[in-house]
Amino acid sequence: MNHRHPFIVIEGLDGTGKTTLRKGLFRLWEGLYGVTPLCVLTTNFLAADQAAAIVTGKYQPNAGNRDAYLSAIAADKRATLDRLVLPQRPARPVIADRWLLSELAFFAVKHGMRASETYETLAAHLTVAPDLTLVLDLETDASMSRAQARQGDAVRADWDVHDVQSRVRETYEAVVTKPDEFPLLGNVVRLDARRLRSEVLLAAWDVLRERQLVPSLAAHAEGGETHG
Amino acid sequence: MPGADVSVLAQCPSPLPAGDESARALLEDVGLGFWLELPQRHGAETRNQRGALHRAADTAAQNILVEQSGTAWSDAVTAASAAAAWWVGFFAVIRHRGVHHTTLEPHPGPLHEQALGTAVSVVAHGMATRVLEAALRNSDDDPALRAAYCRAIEAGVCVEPELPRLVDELAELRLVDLVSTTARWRGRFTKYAGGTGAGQVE
Ligand SMILES: Nc1ncnc2c1ncn2[C@@H]1O[C@H](COP(=O)(O)OP(=O)(O)OP(=O)(O)O)[C@@H](O)[C@H]1O
Ligand SMILES: [Mg+2]
Repeated sequence: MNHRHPFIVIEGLDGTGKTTLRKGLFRLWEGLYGVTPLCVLTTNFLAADQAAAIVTGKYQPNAGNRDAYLSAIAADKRATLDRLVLPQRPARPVIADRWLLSELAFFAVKHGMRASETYETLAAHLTVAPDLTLVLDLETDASMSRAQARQGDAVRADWDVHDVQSRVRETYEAVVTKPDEFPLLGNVVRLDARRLRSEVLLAAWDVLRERQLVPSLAAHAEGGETHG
Repeated sequence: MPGADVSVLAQCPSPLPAGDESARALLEDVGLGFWLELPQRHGAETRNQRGALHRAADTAAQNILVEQSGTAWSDAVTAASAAAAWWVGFFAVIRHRGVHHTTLEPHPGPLHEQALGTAVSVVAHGMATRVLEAALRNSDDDPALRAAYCRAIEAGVCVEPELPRLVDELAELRLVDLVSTTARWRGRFTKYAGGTGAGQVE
């Protein structure tokens, strides 16, 4: 029986349905398996002294603040692992809405850095890989129109535009096709995000069941308590 | 909703298919025996007339089941949804005697029938989710059952942002309680609506 809950990452271009899938998995775990996951984001502002560097590096990226930004997100991810992910895993699954892949794409597109170079810098600070990185795969036209159809103000003129999103998608492709070179992504599984929301959730659930990252329900019914 | 027909609002739902003991057992299993029993006992008999609330309940069940029928879980979902129409309709009938859910003032203002239809589908989805979870806890082997559960979950995710407005519109305490305790939602905290794409903290 699996007493250590999984750490799962959801990646994908803006508007591909990451948050939707994260909420779906949250409800699935809470409703069916009786355990409430912890959800985290790619940056969680846990390394307080790095917060300013994160905001500047993300919203005004330039050659001068690139390295400070990279080490700030490394510190923040390290703090997220040490203070949230690792302490919580005995009790609950952790679902991250974006993690490493998004950062590799950001540095490739905004700073022209090779994914392997960004990866090496981040990897020096991180010791734990997720069990699974789910990558929602969708053409940029479709993902951008989904992102724009949504209410709210989360679309950025220097990011949610066609050429940037296409380059992000290329970086994703390049990384995802060479998983051995990026072990801190864990197992990488691509999901076709063109499908209905419920079908994407079902596909993700099937991946979790196949890999025994969710408890077996037969055992649940017989043994009562599944989570020690 | 002035002038509404009480017998249409609190219409008796169709009974479970004869002899479907496994569907009934599933409903009992999740503690929903009463959910079916009261509408069956107290529902108004109306011939050849299906009100808007019953149509909303049918639609909610169909959205989850798609083509599936004839299993204990699909019959139980259909029955739990149909009963949702009666519960919402019944509370709508006595709504004028109720109080506002936050101020506790009497005489809640009028209401559009459309809001009741939305309330029925929210309640039907919530109950269907419970039924499907009970069925899955017995066995998750059936792919059609897993697919139906995923549709119920996503229906819940999609409707969540509309719930604060629905609750405001329903206004009356008992109707608000019925909806807000049946739906799975995170209360009025809707900061998630905008997305994380541009790095917005959700
Ligand atoms: N499979 C799907 N089919 C159709 N629409 C979808 C699907 N998944 C999500 N959506 C809708 O697309 C919009 C964007 O979805 P969501 O917010 O989940 O994307 P996201 O990947 O989290 O975006 P961001 O990167 O900007 O945070 C939402 O309105 C959502 O309801
Ligand atoms: Mg999002």
